[in-house]
Amino acid sequence: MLYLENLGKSFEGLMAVNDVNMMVKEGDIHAIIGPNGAGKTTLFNLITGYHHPDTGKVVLRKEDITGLPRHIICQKGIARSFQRVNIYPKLTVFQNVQVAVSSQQGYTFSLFSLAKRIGRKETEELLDELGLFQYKDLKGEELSHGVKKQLELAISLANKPKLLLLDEPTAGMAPEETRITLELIQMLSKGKGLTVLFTEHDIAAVFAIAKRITVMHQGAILAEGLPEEVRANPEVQRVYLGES
Amino acid sequence: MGTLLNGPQRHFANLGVLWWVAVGIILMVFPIFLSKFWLYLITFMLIQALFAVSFNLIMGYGGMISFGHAAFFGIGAYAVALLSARTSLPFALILISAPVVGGLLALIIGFFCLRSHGLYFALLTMVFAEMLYHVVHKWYNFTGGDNGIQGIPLPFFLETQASYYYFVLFLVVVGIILVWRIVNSPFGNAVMAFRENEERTDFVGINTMKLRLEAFSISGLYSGLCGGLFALLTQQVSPDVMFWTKSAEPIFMGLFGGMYTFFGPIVGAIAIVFLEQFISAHTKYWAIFMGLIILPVVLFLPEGLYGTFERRIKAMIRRRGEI
Repeated sequence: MLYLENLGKSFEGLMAVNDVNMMVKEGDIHAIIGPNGAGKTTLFNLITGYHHPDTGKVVLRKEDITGLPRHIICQKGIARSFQRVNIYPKLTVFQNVQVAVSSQQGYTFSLFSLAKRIGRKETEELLDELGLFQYKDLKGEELSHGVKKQLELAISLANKPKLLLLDEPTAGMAPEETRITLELIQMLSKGKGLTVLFTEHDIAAVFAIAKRITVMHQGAILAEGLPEEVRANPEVQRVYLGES
Repeated sequence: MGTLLNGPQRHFANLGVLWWVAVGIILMVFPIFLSKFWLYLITFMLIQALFAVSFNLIMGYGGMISFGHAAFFGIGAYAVALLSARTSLPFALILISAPVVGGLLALIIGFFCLRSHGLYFALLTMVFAEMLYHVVHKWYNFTGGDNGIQGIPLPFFLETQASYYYFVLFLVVVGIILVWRIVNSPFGNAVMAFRENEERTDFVGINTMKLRLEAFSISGLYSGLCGGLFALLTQQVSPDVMFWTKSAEPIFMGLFGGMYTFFGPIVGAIAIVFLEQFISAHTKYWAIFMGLIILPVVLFLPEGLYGTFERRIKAMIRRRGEI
C-alpha cells in the first residue's frame, strides 16, 4: 500500500527523519512509536506533502507521490488527522464534515448548487457512525476535546481514504473516549478495509490494536515487526519501553 | 425544506417575507416621487451595495482583505468609458466588457498576490492598484490622464434618470441573488472553511490556491461591473475611481454593516452613502466626521450594525421559541 524509500528530512542541520525505509501493508493497522522527537510527526508530514523530503521517495500503490501538493495527495487517497486538534472552529459539526464530503464528491467548485443539498446523506451517515449526530448543529469550538478529536476523525474519513494517518488519535482523551476511539479504528480497518498508520504515546493502546509496529528513535527506524517481536527486542526495551 | 418552524419562528419568517415585499415596492416606486438628485443618490447607493456585497465574498467569507479593489472598479469604469467614447460597439457589449476586464485583471493580480497571506497580501494588492492608478493618471493619450473622459453616451432607452435607475436596480438585484447563491454553495462553504483553517482545507483535498483565486476573481468581476455602472451613472470617469480610497470603501461598508453576515455590507453601503452625503452638505471637513462615526461602530460593535441586529433578533426568536 505505502512504501517509503530512503526518506530523509533535516531542519537547519538537524536530521528529523533519517534514511527511513518502511512498508505499510494493505489493510493493516500499523503503529509508529518512539520517544518525543523521534521523528514520527515529521514522517507523517513527509508522507502527506506537508513537508517536502530532502531525500527518498514516497510510493502509494506503486505511484510515486513524493513532493506532490497536499490536496493532490489527499485526492489520491491519503487522509490524516493532526496531533493538535485541527478542525473548523466556527463552522457547525455538520459543515465541518460536509466540506470534506463535497470535496470528495467533486462539488467544491460548484458555484450555484445549494450546499445544503450536497452530500447531506453521506455527512449524516458519517456523523451517525462516529456518534456525532447529536452535536451536528453545534459549532466546532463548542465541543469537548474528546469530541473534537472524533470530529477530526470524521473529517478525515469523509474523504473516503484508502490510507488513514492518525497522529496521536487518543491524545488528551478520557479513558472511555480512548476505548471508543480504539474500537472505532479497529472497526474501520475490519469493516471498510481501511489501512491505518498511526502514532501513539499510549503503549497499551498500541499493543491492543496494532498488527505491526515500527519503532523510531532519533529520526531513524530502530525496529519493526509484529507486536510480540517488537516487545521482545532488547534494543527497543533499552531506548524506549524500558524508559516508560 | 424539511425544517419545522415553531410558532415564533413562523411568525418572524412571515415578517421577513412582508419586509422583502415592502422593500421591493418602495424600490419600484422611488422614481415616482423622488427628485432627480435623490434618484441619482439611490442609484449610486445600489451600485455601492453590490460592490460591498461582492467584496465581502473575500473579506467576510474568505478572510482575505484586499486593499486593491479600486483597480477592478476603475478598469471596469474605464472600459465602459473608452469603448463608449472611441468605438461604436453595441451597448450590451460595452457593458459586458466591464465585468470581463475586472475579472481578468483580478485573475492576473490575484495570481501574483495570493501567493502571500494577510498583511502581505493586502499590501501587494494595494501596490498593483497604485501602479494602475499612476498609469491611468499619466497616460494622457489613452485615458485622458487626470482630465479623465467626459460625456459618456447612454443608449436612448437609458437616457432618463428613472430608466437608468430601474436598469441598475435590476442588475444589482440579480447580482446580489447570484452572490447569495455563491455563498450558499459548496464553493461558499469551502471559502469559509479556508478562512477558518487553511491547513485543514488543504488536507480535505481542496486546492486552496485555486479556491482563493476563483473567489478573488469573482469579486473582481463584480467590482468591474460596479465600476462600469458607475461610469454610466456619472457619464464621465476620472482617475479618482482607481485611487486607493476607492479600495477602502468596500472595507468600510463591510465593517460598518457587519462582514460576517450576508446583508451587513448592504446596510453598510446605504448608511455610509447617506452619511457622506448628509455630512458633506454641511461641512467640507466631512471626512473627519465620517471617521468619528465609523470608529465607534468598528470599536464597540465589531459585528457591525446589521451583524449586531441580526444576532439580537436570532437570540430573541430563540428565547420566544423556548417559552
